[in-house]
Amino acid sequence: MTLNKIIRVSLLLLLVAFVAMAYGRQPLETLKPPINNILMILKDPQYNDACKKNLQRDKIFEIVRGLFDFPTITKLALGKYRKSFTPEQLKDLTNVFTDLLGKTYINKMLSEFKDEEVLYIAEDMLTKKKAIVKTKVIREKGEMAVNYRMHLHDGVWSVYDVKAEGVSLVKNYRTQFSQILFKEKPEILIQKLQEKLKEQEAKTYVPQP
Amino acid sequence: MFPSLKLSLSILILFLWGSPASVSASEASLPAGSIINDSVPDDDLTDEELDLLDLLDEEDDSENYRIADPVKYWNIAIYHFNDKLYFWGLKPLTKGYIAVTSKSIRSGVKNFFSNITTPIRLVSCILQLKIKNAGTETARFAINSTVGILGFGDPAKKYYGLKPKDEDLGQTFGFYGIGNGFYIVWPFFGPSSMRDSVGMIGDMFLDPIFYVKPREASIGITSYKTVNETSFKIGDYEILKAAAIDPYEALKDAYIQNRKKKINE
Repeated sequence: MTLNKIIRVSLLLLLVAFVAMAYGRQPLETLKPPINNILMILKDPQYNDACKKNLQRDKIFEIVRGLFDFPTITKLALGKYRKSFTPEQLKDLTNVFTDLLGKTYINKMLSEFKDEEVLYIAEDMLTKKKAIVKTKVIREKGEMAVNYRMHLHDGVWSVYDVKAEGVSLVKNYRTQFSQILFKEKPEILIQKLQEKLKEQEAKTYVPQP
Repeated sequence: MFPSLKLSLSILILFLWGSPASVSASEASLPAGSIINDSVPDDDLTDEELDLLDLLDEEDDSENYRIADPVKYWNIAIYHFNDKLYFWGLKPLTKGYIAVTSKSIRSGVKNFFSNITTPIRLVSCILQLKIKNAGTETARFAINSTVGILGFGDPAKKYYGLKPKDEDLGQTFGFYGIGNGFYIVWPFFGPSSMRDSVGMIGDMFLDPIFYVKPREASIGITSYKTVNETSFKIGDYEILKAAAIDPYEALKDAYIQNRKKKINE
């Protein structure tokens, strides 16, 4: 057995153990590893190279996608207007909304975060299937209270809302979405988000090596 | 070899880990073929998801987070004015300021201004009968003005763990159940509500800088304070704007939610 094989097999075993563990996890335990992982990727000096920024962003996005329940986030942000969306439209909206949120916030992290630390303050179980995990992000600029609302879905805890300094992501988008959907059709909202995403991509384009 | 292994592994992890999210996504798309579904969208939400919706809705109703905006045209105009003011004036100015000052100087200045505005926080704490917090503010002022050399240092926090209490008169009114009134955006000062505007005027009278003569000096000091404060916040407004489809609505909602949190604290 070559060294490579050993590494592969042991990694696979680790993975299996990890997945098995994930299914018995509590909200806080579910949240911690991916967030610490993101902080580690942000600090990793191998990404200092400008041409590796895309890879770094993709890696963080992958972790975020695993942790956040974007379909539920989208539905909650639509509120009562979700009724006017066809499943197809809902899927389109979820995709573009996920991309927009991921791209803007991860870009912000990439450009600003250096020595951030996350303190895990508390885990409040609201019901058996709902919880709030309270954290504090220690930044150079000062502290920021970040609370994650999580729910148990198919045996796994995932995040369905984030509150930063009291501002709920879902509610903030719900006010924006409802302003548009009050007078416009669903496809207009999707179109607007797509335009916004393009704008973002144009601004933050990093050439591939 | 190794990077590709890593990549495939992380994809695998994601695939396994992210499966609940993708499951519900495919669930949502499944009934696309059925005809009934168009009119009955509730069906594709699981009970649990409806629960979540209920939870958020309940909260909204009880805490009344929406705010009336009867002077919307004025507000939007001033919002655009402030936006330009920030990008064309305040931000370049602050960037220049950051270039010529060290972080320790800026922190010192921030501490100094925070120290001399103790009256605002102290009076608000007393009015809300938060006696312990009022004590903390008094102790902070005594320690930082002396050991902290006129407030430039913050030994009260560093050595005694005494953190400043973020209070103002607007929050005090909110504490006694006075509602926001309607939303209003002021030139230079930004988002506010009727209640918080009245609070702001009161705070002004509690701010020693207001009593500096001549008037121009007072305005100058306040402008400098603003630039110094902005040096710690650069990028925050940009991200809000970048992620929002309607930045005006996003800022309004963020203001109201943030104030609500501060009042509840």
